Amino acid sequence: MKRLLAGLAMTAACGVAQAQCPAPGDCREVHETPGCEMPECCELVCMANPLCCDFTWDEVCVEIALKECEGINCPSEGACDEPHATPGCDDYTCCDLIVTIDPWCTFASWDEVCARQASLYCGKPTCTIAASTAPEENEPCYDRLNDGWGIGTVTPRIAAGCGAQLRGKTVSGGPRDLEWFNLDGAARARYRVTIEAEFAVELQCLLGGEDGPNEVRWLAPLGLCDGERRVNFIAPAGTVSLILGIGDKDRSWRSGVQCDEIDPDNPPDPDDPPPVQVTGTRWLVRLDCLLLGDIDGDGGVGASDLGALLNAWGPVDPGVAVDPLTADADLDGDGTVGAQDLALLLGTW
Amino acid sequence: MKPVDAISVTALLATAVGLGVARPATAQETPLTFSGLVTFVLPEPFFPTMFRVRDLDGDGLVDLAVAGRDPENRLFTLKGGPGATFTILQTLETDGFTDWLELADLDGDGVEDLVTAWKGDVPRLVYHRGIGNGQFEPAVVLAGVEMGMGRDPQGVAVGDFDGDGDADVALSLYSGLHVDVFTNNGLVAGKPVFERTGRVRLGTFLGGLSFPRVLFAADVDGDKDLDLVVNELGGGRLAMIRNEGGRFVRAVETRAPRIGDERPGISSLQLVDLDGDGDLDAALPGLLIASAQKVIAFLNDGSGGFAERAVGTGADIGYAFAIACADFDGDGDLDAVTGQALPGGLAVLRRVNSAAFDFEVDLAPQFGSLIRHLEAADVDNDCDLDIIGIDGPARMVFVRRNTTPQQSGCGGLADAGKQGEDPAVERPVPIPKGPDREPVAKHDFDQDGVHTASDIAVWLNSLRRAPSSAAGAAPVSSPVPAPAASPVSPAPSRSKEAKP
Repeated sequence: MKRLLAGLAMTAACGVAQAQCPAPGDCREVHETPGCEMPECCELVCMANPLCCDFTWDEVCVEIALKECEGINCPSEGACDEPHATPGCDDYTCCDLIVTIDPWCTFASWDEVCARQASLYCGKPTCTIAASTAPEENEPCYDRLNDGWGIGTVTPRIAAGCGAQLRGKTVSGGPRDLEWFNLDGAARARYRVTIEAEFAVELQCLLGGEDGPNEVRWLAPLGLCDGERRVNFIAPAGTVSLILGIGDKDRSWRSGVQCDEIDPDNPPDPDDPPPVQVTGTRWLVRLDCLLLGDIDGDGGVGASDLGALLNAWGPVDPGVAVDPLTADADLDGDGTVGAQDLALLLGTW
Repeated sequence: MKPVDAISVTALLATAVGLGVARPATAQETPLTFSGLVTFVLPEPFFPTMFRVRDLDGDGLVDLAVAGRDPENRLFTLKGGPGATFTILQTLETDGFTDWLELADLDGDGVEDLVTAWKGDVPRLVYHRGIGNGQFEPAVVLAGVEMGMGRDPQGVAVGDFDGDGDADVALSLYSGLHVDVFTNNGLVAGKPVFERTGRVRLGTFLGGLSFPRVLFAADVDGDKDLDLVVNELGGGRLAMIRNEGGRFVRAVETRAPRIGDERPGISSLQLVDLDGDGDLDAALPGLLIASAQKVIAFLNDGSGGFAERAVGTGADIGYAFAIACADFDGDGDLDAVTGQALPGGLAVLRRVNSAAFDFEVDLAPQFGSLIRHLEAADVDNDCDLDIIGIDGPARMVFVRRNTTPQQSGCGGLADAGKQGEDPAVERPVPIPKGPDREPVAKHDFDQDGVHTASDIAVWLNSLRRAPSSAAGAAPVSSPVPAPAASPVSPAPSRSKEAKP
């Protein structure tokens, strides 16, 4: 306390801090210079004891850091794009971004998922999608009104007719918001979905109803701010949902993209921190119905589709994940691309 | 590399798929009876989570290998003695909590090894090489973070997934929400070398978290290779992951049936042939808040489809957490025992009709607070199946010896008497009426937006010391990933268990 009072007096007398946060030096180790390299930790410690930013980062500062900076591990040793057994990584900006969307990376270890996310997202600019006249989804981002059976209670799905366009917002919170589009049909049908979003898109095609069996026929990570993306796929007969959410190949985001609208029934506390927004929340979707034989999704059935079918001729390997970004030529869904598919294609020539 | 020998594979599968195959009942049913508790308390602060039954030292008596959550970083093997007693056979050092273990011959030397995964901030797949006489060598790390080890491993399953003759390993990643497959690439310098070759995401379509836990490898679809089956605590689903030529690509997930106004939480899993049709079904404890506990069956259609589900009677005490199905009365059909929590205890359930999936509650003794794992095994060598279990908070291994007259003529009281013991035989007792469950924390642990029985299953699974059971009490160890804004753990004093 004596030291703290002396420090406060000296700071007041001098009127300036000798170090701004962050500054060189490990926050958890004594070093001669003031301040330390972890911005949040440095600020926390210097708020508790300004001497730590004025003179030297001594044992007292380290003691405060160990107590106050629990879980703050950005930056730490280890390359951000390589897995390592310690939390955090050496690039503060990248580390801070990744631990915001994936807290495991800051309290546990920087595993391959953290490293892959760093490769995908660090240094990548965010984006804003252009204004659109498409109808709104009519779901405030604090509500879960069209999440199918993705949450504990069953909610409606978005009716998705041919040529439908829709815009809306989605967030990563708990439960994360998902947009479920209803593609139920009596027969196999081919669709093209066009998506633009301000967040990392995780798109999946789910088969089956509320009780299951449920099978994710495919999951497509469409990237962050990669512009307009198109997916051409066949939905089998039965209960089929197209699900839009925030995430990538490894995991769904559950933090980092919060709702920026105020829920009138549950307004935020004035003392709450502002919502964390690593990316934007808005999306724009268009759904088109294609002919079953339109394998390349160009709007007609022709020679290029025939070529794609012949190229895929033979059994479909069940041990390989379905990729909706490649041509799906198994028109009848029997697990083999063959004469029956050719007949179907020619029937819609 | 030397192929896995037939005996170890058979033993592994027998363990993996449970005990017994249902056959038509042949005679009049008599109530199931069991002796009083025979207990062994493990050292503090060990919190046992599960065990495997083997005769590790070859003395003809049942021994145990026990996984657990231990701040002192240990797991134990226990030597079985006369009268269903146990003593510590070996203490093995770990570097993290272990929620599951399996015994299988990973290195092909003909001796079963102990395979487990260390949870914690730096999860690792490890094995303790078996050297015979019930002894195991110190742990060898088979996969760490740098080799693609996933987050928060809980379930472990071992089997030859790629058909190359050696034992591969699969893990359920509770917080990672995946099942990972590690392929055994043979020995280098006497040590098996593993490579992660498969990762299947679970519950990607959920707003909440799937929390996969108990994982079994077995041929569920009848195509002669080993598939993977896992229960998901979040949302209460069973996931079947088909083996496609040694590759695991996608899961088919089926939800537990609605019972009254609620969906049960399903915290454990056993694969057994419940309906006697020759394929493996899934038996799970049905944890309910508003009504008596149940037993849930997911019935296999022969090709690995589990769309047909059935609900059997359970006891009206506590929350059902663990399950073991076995033929306790020798009548050819599978009875069941569930382990309860808050209050702890057992529900001994006699199958009333082999053609139907339903039970009579013959016994419902209350003891302990959280029965986490159960097995049926012949502990006293009287050729009937006894109940072995653990209570986590009490650090207790317990045995209840089967005293039910067996239709085969063996077992029962007579054999118990031959061993010079006087077990306190527990006869059928009146079952307590009405819900007798302690209130527990109300929190949306699986983050699906509602508080359900699944949340209680998740909460119970997260405990690592005696539960604080008051309504609204904070969980001992929250299983829910922390929000991004909340830094969670310090680097300088790394915890052995990952803070979720």
